[in-house]
Amino acid sequence: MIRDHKPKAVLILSLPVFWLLGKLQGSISPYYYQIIIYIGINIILASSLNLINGFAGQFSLGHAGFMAIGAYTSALITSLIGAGGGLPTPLVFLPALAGGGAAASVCGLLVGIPTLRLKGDYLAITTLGMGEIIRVIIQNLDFLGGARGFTGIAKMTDFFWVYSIAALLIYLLYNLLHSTYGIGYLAVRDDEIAAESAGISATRIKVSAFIIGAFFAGIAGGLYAHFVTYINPAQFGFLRSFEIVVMVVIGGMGSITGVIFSALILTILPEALRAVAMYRMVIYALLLVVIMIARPGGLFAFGSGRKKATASAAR
Amino acid sequence: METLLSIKKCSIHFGGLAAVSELDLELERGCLVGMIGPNGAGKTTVFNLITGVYKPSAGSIVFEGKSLLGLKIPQIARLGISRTFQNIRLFKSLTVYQTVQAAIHYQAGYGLMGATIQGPKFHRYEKRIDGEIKEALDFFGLREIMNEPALSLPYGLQRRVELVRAMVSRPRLVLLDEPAAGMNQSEKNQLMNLIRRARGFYGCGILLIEHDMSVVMGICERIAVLDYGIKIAEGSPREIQNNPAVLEAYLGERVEN
Repeated sequence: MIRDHKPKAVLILSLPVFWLLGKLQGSISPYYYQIIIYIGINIILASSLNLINGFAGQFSLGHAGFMAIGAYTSALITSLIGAGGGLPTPLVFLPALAGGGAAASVCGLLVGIPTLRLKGDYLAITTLGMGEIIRVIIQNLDFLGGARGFTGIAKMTDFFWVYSIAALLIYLLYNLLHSTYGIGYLAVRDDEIAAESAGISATRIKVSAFIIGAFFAGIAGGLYAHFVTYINPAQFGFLRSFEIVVMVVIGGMGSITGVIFSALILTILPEALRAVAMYRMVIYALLLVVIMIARPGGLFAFGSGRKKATASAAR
Repeated sequence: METLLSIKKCSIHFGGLAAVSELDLELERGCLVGMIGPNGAGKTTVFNLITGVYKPSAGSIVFEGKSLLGLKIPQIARLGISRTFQNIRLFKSLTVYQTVQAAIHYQAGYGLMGATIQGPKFHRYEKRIDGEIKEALDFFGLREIMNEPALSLPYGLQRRVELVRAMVSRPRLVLLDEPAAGMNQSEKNQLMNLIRRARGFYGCGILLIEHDMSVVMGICERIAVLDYGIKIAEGSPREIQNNPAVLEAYLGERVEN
């Protein structure tokens, strides 16, 4: 195998580009800026769920729960450290995001363990329940604001933060998929018994997928919280989880680029459909149905689809 | 001869049915042993006991001096026991290369962090792994089609991919479950040749289940016969062919005139 330096180069080059682009944020309308930020956050959410659903094949419906934990934990951290004041943003924000991600991945571990015994529909229902449990617990914790929500979060998220984290996640996923270790995820997804007989620990694969997926969902939650500056439990309900699942399914389970494109389009689509106001969600839902009938393998499952992953693995 | 696997007084019951009872089986390093018996005799169950899919209700299974009881399926595989399946079980979205790669996954000594960051250690391991996969694919004649999806191949080649997947990790014991099923005679001859050569190349012991007598008698040095979960005979192909208990199990009782 020839060493492939391209992904690393792309990652390193993208950071200053994002930084420069971030400088332009004052010159576009806040409405568009908000959509651009949401696109980035949704790319992180959908890509991290893609690891769980698409790579490891564990159909999870509780991603918003991980996001909520990350959002609240990081908001709590910045409000505590920020109270001291004076520290530059990265020194507060970075540990806050990492803390939010870590808290979410601990929860991912707790969700991951029961999944070892569950498959398919049963797993989906269990993770759905887990997500709701998280939401309801937060709703009843008074120091987090309960149902009233958590207010006064410092606005720290900007273009650079969101897109450099998205780029990092995509880089890590790409590397994983193009490694012998990462093939284990696909093998467990395809045939657990055959994979285990070949020495792959399905337990480790599934739990690690949940831990990493939850970690990045937690970070996405932190980014979201520090962008909107006000969070409440209702923002992290089942519908949120469902939206993320739709992005993964439409993009093509296990396709890295497909999921990025679908996060992009499915974030823009509801906004673009505002012109037809009352029919907005009807058209959105119809489009989903049509896409699923016409392209069951995922609308954007080209590019990093299986063929290409294979070609580079075999090089 | 050094003992590789030793099964002693091994039994398993499913409800009231004794699928395997009091089985004794010894395999030596580098052996080529066949296991035959009528349908439902418990042959595949023996494989499932060795590989940890089932836990025996009684008895012991020792591989290279280490008890396999209580170990999980991947742990047993990592000790050096691999298998193929009666109904081919390939990974439906993986290519031939990736399928073989999956079997060597556990030897990727860099872990999850290594895989995502891809430092020098990662590249060292990947280079070695790539070499081993290609060597195996060359040996089994699959190098040309290594980028084809494994499930798009004709049946005989799919079986061969399973064989490579079982062999590439250099196990000491390979369990082959009806490797010749559904093959014509020339394919069977080719397969026998391949199994013999693979054993020499990888130096592994092979235990195979097979219904086709031409294959079993053709390559096995020793044959064990199961019937209703009980080992009714064991010996060289010649001994088995003339064993009255075996003939009875296969053909029914001799009617004295």
